[in-house]
Formats: sequence, C-alpha cells, structure tokens
Amino acid sequence: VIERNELRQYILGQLTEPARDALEERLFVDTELLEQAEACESELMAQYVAGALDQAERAQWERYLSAHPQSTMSLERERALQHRFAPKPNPAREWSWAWARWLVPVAALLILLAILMPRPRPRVTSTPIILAIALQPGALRGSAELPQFVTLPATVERLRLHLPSAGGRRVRIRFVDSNAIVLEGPLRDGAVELDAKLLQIGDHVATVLDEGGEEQADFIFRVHRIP
Amino acid sequence: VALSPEVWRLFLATLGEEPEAAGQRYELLRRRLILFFAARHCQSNEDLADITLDRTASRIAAGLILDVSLESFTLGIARNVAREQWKKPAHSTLDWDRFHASKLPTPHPASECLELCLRQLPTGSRITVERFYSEQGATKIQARQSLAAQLGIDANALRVRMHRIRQKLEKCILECEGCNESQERNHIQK
Repeated sequence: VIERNELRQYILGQLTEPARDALEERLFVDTELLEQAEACESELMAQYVAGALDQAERAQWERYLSAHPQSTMSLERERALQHRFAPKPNPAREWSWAWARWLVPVAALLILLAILMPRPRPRVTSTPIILAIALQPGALRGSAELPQFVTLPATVERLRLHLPSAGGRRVRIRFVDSNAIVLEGPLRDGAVELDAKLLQIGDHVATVLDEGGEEQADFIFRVHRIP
Repeated sequence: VALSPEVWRLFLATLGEEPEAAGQRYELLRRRLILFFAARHCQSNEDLADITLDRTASRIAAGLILDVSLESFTLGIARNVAREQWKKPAHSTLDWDRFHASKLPTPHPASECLELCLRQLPTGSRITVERFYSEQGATKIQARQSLAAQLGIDANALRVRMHRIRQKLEKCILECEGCNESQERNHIQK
C-alpha cells in the first residue's frame, strides 16, 4: 500500500532513487494510484497557495511547478477558490463604534416616545410567529458571508422563504444529509411558507421548478436553531 | 518531426482495438508521463511527454515486438528522455512570489467565471467544495474528516474527489474565459 506521504515525497523529489523507480513502475500500471498522485499534487498546490508549506517544501514545490509553466493556471484557480471561501471579516465588529455613538440619542428618543405614546390595550392573539428570509440562488452568496444561514429561534413557528426566480411555480426542499424531501409545494409570489419544525439542523436545498417541472434554480441554506 | 498518420494508426491500434478505448489509454499514458517528468523536475514536462509518446510510436511502427506492457516500455523510453534533459540547464522564468497567498491580498479577476462555474457544478459537488474550503485553521482537519464521514468515504477518496471537482472547475473557467475573450475581440472589431 502506497502511503499519501510517499506520493507527496515523490512529487517533491524527496524519495531515494530506488524508491522513486519502484513507485514509478506502479504509477505506470495502477490508474487508481495515478489519481491519488494527482490528488496529492492538487493538495500541495492548495497548501502552497495557503502558505502552509515549510520553507524546504515550498522550494521543492516551486521546482516541481517550474517543470510545467501551465501550472500557473491551476495556481490562479486555487487562489481564486481560497479567496472565494475565505472567512469574511465580521461586519458587526467593524460597525461597533459607528452604532455606539447613536446609542444615547436613540435610547433618549425611545424613552420619550414611550412616555408620549398612548398605551394600546393588551389583546390576546393567536397569530403564529413567522420568520421571513430572502435567499439568493446558488450554493454561494455573491459577496456576502458564507454560507446562507437560516437561524431559527425556538419561538418561531413558521418560516417564509423568498426564493426569487423568474418562471418558478413550485418548490422542493430537501435535507442534504439524508436526501429526504422536506416539502414540495406551490410557490406564491416567489415565496413558500412552511412549518419551522420541518427543518432539521444542517444544509438544505430548495429547488425552484417551472410549470413543466424543470429545475430553475437551487437555493442552498444551512439551518441553525437557537433557544 | 511530426509523425506520419500511418505511425499513429499503428500506435493507436497497439493501444486498443476500439478507438475510444485506445484514446483513453493514450490520455492515461500521457498523464503518467506528465507526472513523471514533473516529479523529476524536468522543464516543459508536457512537451517531454509528447516526445516520449512520439518515440514510443516510432519504435512500434518500426516493427518492435513488446515483451513487456506498453506502459512499462514507455516508462523506459521516458527515463532515457529524462536523462537527456539533465544535461540541459534548468531555468524558471516564473515569479513564484506572486502566487503566494500571504503576499496577495487581491483576488483573481476571473471571479465572474468562477462564480458561474461553481453554480454549474452539481449540488453535491458545490456543497463539498464549500465545506472543504470554508473551514480554516485548527478546525480544518476535523471539518474535513467529518465531511469525508458524511460522504461515506475516507480521506484519500475525499482528496481524489476534490481533485476531480477542481479539474472540472478549471476546465469550465478556461472555457468561460475563452468565451469572454472572443466576445471582447468581436466587440472591439465591431
């Protein structure tokens, strides 16, 4: 059995000549091993771009890459992918001081309104608490943080999902881990309403279908629950 | 020197009776050679892979009877080609620092194509990519182990799967960028 480390050492030129020759003999007959070696190559590329290789490995990897200038394309692709999925700075932190200076005037205004406003008579209502969320199509949001989260407080009974898609008539919501269909039903004004209890914690895919049942768009979201 | 069509016909016939199977075996052989020359740090590994294949095809067309598999025979030729290369000075004109993440705050401009290609991936692959890349730092290893477990595969198979997805993305991005470039050219010509 060839270990991943051995393939890695092969690619980086760290193996002794007999070990390298023996591995090459296998690489030329074993297609699965070839795939593993290429996957190892991809992994080294990702680690290189992420700055996760030590100095010696980095130098060896650059020698390896210099053998094929076409690899610059793979490097660019890896860079773009890592940048795409890199955690974004927390906007709340950036704005903390901005909103803090409005705290006192807003609080004063609220107190004043509370004093001046006539108090409505309390009334009993049976309207369920509905949470409305607009999702964007695709697995990944354009410039926002990843992934799209749907955070459900325990008090929320129903969830209204807005799924903008031209020509969408129906929607099918699926729980990714088990592939079970959570709901299938009509889309009204680009939205669907469902019992919040139907959603489990984890990733879901809402697929919008047109009149003919053709898939129009996927909306992927991750459900979180908070007490 | 370009090989004659007759030499190619004989070589492909050696690779397989059916053209499709012969083509696949040829591509696999070429991938093996590209990896071989890269691991030996030979310059222009794709060109060397083609030179090796040309030499193999010529030998076969000359009537050589193989007493080993075609792959083993090609490996022998590749070793000779590599020895010839060692006599040539190695050089690299690439500025590697420009690829290093820590020195590159700006994203690649082809992000539109990347977004498009990510959307074109099957849902399962999209989620795999997202989960694979989303975790950073100390939690990354655990997150990837958990992802492999959820997919019902081991870590090696996850690496191979990610490699295939990356290849698919790269192919799609190449096509997308090529398409954008030709549209720009047409626009300029108009």
